[in-house]
Amino acid sequence: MVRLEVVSRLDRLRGFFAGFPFVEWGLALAIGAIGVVFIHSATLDDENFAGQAPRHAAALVALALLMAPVAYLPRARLLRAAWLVYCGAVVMLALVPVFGVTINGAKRWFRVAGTSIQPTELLKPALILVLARWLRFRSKAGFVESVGVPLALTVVPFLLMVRQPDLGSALSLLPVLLAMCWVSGARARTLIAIAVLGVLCLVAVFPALHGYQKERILVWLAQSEMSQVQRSGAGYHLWQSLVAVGSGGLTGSGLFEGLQNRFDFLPYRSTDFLFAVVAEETGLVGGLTMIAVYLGFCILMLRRAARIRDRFGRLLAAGVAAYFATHLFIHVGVCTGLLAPTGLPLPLLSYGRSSLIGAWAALALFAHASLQRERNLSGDMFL
Amino acid sequence: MSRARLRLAVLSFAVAGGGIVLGARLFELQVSEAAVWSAARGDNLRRRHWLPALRGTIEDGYGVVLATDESLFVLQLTYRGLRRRHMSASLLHLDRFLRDLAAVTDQSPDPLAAVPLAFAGPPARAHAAADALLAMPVRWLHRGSGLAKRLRSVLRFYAFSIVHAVDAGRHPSASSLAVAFDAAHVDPPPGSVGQCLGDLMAQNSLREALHAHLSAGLADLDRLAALLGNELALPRSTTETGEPRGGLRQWLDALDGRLRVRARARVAARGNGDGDARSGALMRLARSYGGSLSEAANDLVVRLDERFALEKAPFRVAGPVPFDTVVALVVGRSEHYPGFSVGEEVRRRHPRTEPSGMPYRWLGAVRAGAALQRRDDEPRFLIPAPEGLDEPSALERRVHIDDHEWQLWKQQLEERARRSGQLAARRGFDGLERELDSVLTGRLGIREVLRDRGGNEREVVRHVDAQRGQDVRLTIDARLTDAMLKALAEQGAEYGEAKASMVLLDVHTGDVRGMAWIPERTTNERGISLQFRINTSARSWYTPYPGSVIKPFMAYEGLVTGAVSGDFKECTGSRYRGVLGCGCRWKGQTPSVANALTFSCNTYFAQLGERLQEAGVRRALTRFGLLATSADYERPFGLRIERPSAVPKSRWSTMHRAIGYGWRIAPLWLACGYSGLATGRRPFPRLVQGVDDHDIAPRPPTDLGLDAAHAATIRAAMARVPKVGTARKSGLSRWPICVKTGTAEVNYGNANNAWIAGWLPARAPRFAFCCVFWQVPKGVHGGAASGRAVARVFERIEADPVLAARYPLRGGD
Repeated sequence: MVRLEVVSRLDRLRGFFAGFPFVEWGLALAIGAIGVVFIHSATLDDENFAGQAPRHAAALVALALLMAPVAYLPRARLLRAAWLVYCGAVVMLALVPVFGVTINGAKRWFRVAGTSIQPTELLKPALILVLARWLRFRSKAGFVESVGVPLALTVVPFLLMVRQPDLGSALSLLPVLLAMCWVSGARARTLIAIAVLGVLCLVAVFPALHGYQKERILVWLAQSEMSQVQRSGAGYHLWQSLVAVGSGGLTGSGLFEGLQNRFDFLPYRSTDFLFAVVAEETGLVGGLTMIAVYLGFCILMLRRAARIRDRFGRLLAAGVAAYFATHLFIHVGVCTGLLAPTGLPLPLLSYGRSSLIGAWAALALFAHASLQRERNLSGDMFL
Repeated sequence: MSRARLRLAVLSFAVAGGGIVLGARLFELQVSEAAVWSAARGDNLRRRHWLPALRGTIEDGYGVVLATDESLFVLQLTYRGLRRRHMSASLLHLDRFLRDLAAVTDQSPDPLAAVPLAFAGPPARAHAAADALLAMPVRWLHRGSGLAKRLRSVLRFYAFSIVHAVDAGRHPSASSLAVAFDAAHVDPPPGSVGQCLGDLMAQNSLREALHAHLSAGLADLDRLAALLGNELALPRSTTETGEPRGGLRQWLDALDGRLRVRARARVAARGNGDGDARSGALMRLARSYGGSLSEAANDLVVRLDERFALEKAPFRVAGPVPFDTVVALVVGRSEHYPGFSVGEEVRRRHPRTEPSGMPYRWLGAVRAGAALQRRDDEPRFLIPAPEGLDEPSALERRVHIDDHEWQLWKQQLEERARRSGQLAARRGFDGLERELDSVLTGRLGIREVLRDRGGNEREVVRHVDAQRGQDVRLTIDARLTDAMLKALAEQGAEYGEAKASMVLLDVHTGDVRGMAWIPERTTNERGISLQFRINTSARSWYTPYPGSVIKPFMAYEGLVTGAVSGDFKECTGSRYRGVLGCGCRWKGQTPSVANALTFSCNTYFAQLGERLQEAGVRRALTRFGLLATSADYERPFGLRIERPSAVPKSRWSTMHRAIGYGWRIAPLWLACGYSGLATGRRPFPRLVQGVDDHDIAPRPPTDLGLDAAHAATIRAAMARVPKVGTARKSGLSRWPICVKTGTAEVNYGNANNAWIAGWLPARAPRFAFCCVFWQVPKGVHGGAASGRAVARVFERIEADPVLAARYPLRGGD
């Protein structure tokens, strides 16, 4: 009897964890651990940032533990909370210009209990959640419902982010929107039209950008002809990042031996330019491995999304995968000069508590979606 | 596959495709362009400084130091430091910036005053500028001012720096004051800079504090100016009345003006296609479309950037500066003299100079030049490079102060000098310094470091100590050279601006004991000073014909070949063959070779030349080393002496060549030739006696195998020259001497080259000499001009006990 009871409890436990995305979470932890190593390397000679690596490690583990229960929230409760979470995040974003603190000329953070919180990072999973909620029954809806409303939901935080100014984060929302709309069934030509329109809008708003943003874009456009003055001015970030990545060569200069990194030439090297540190110290081999691991992580999420039967869960998983993939492209693109310099950390890998919270929140949503894969859609109908 | 799965698969492929793009870009950067970026990283990180190497010392034959290196201190200014941290400089640039801003945008505050601020302006003007800053609306410093960020940041930098300087207690830096300002004012605040920042700094009397600080700063500059005084050749450093005070401020204005002009020129150069044309079309389109700044404002930003880049270079303010005063003032109080620094320089010093006060002219000159890099495996001259040469620094030898604080400063100075790399290689430019450059120039040391973004040295990649140059000991006697120079100058005074050369050497060893020439500067035919000072005792610069001083060699050839036998036409004083005049005074006497030499008869030697023919004439000179082909010519170490040769001019016939026309023979070679005639063994000239402790042995003289009887005939005839011959008016008959004069007509007969050469004592020769006055007026002859100059030298030698002991002119007879 006792044995049967034990077997029964084990089965229940197995059932409880069944469907939990251990592989993806394991990869996330592995990426985070790699991040700890390179954050340590980036802050090795800098007393001001010496504590970043242990803090990142601690946050990584703590957030994994804290966010895991979110995966087990009842679907109904999560769906109900979606609008609330989104609205809360947008309100926080809107309050940043009023109550936020200015760091490096930008007002993006709240100071809470001695630590800085960046609402932008919290908004990203909130947006995924609300978009998934909205799009789950709009596979055959008209333009307004299938694309128009999600676009509006994205544009509101987009504009708030641009105002901060945080152009990088703002731009990272658009691919997520397009990916989720695509998965929800929006027509390809509509999405392409939106993407083209977005690019045209960017060109149109170029004159309204801040001076330094414009200068950075101009320097990026002519990066092969960057003058000495530009290298130490508007093109400083780009130039130093290119030097760090390029000088890494095939096998890199060795762990903790990146000179661009150690000698302080690389700016924001533990956050926005962490991949440059990776590429400098581990070279092409390490850089490609890192990209492959991260891409594998994203593609695994997409594969799991394909196995999820309910639309909400699938959209949620696809949105999270798009969120990580977008950040990878922007972050690595900026570090390698493919994209104009903009401050965007690589979730899990880069230091940044807000970014880490956002990433783990997204992973919790993904786990939630994965766990719910056996459920029937009928439950959603009443919400 | 369901539609949703298909879409997710497409998304997966898109993600994978993006990954491939990233990988390809990574490959491009890290493999295809790896070398480019590695080099760029090297530019970023590596800094190579040359460590100066002292040049070797040059001593004369008796150990007198003629040239040596000494280190000295110079005052330098990196203008950037002054502009950023000295209140008067910051105010000046704020004033100028506001004017520029007013010119390019309508968003700027009003100009401060009608007259721009200047360093040399009255203090009241600076105080007025400070007042204007305090009265400026503070909203201009706020983000909401509407100014472009770059322009606003410049304005904020000056304003916060200036205001912060009066009280650094409350805010640790100007930037922290700016942060506090931003934190306190979300919206553009009302009021003036004085009110707002005064509140922020809890300063009730910001204006008074600012004025006091400004006055102190200007007083510091005046104090430094007064200390530098008139000793320092600062451009525009003195007032019309010669007052040194304020000179430094005027100099700063001049430097500021120069930087401004250069920045504008660089901007203009960029505008003319150097910069924009290089930019891609897309960027130009974007720039014109973006319109981030107006064109004028953009120009202002570019000009500022160029200007700031130019300011990083150090400018020499003055030097040498007295260590105890200026160094103590500047190094010890860097907060009062931001941007000023003391550097170390090496200068070639000449402890002993010519009577004119100039360095010995054959020493030549040293100039800063490109670094001489000798490979490690390349042997140095004569001596292998010593291992681990640990030369005590020049600074250490100069400063003998044991005080701890001074020692610290000393270390600091050495470090700065090392970092700045200002002590470049100095190369011999002229004369001996150039000829012996490979010996005298040491090997520069190298210090290659990796530095971080802040410019701090983080790792020493390579450090090779500098190696001092080798010391050189010459055969020259500076004391004798002085006597020769004075004699030339005295004798030359009779002919106006005389040009003369004299050389005296040891007949046995060929050691050049004295070498001198006038004037000090070599001029070209139009009287323009040349860059190089040509040693006219070793190289021909003026029309070089030696004239009759070659007749003894012709006579010897005639005796050897028997060409002197037979009848010669009697000299009548008229022109021989209608072209060759003779002024000798032996009319009516028996024409013999001895008489012809004594009286220097052109008629006789013209006939002898005709008998010897061209080959015989050449043979006569070649025997005594006065004619050499380029194949067998070798010049002595350290001395650029011209190869004796024929002037390639066809109009000189054999009879002309036999009497000394058409030849290019330096006085030094003639002295060697006369040595051969005197002893029968022709020495090879030697100028360098040794390098460091290594002696350079004289080359064994060439045995000429002279016929004793013929040689004796020649010598006897030459011994009569100062008594009854062409040098009878020279005064040389007082010494037992053999000489031969020569007077070659040059400049189409309008001037003479007046020569004399010979040896003494006559029967036991020790010293051979040759002297020439170039292009003396017509009518002045060798015996009168050069003969008297040589006599003056001998008089000086005998009058000076030291020289008399070194150069016994008598005896042996």
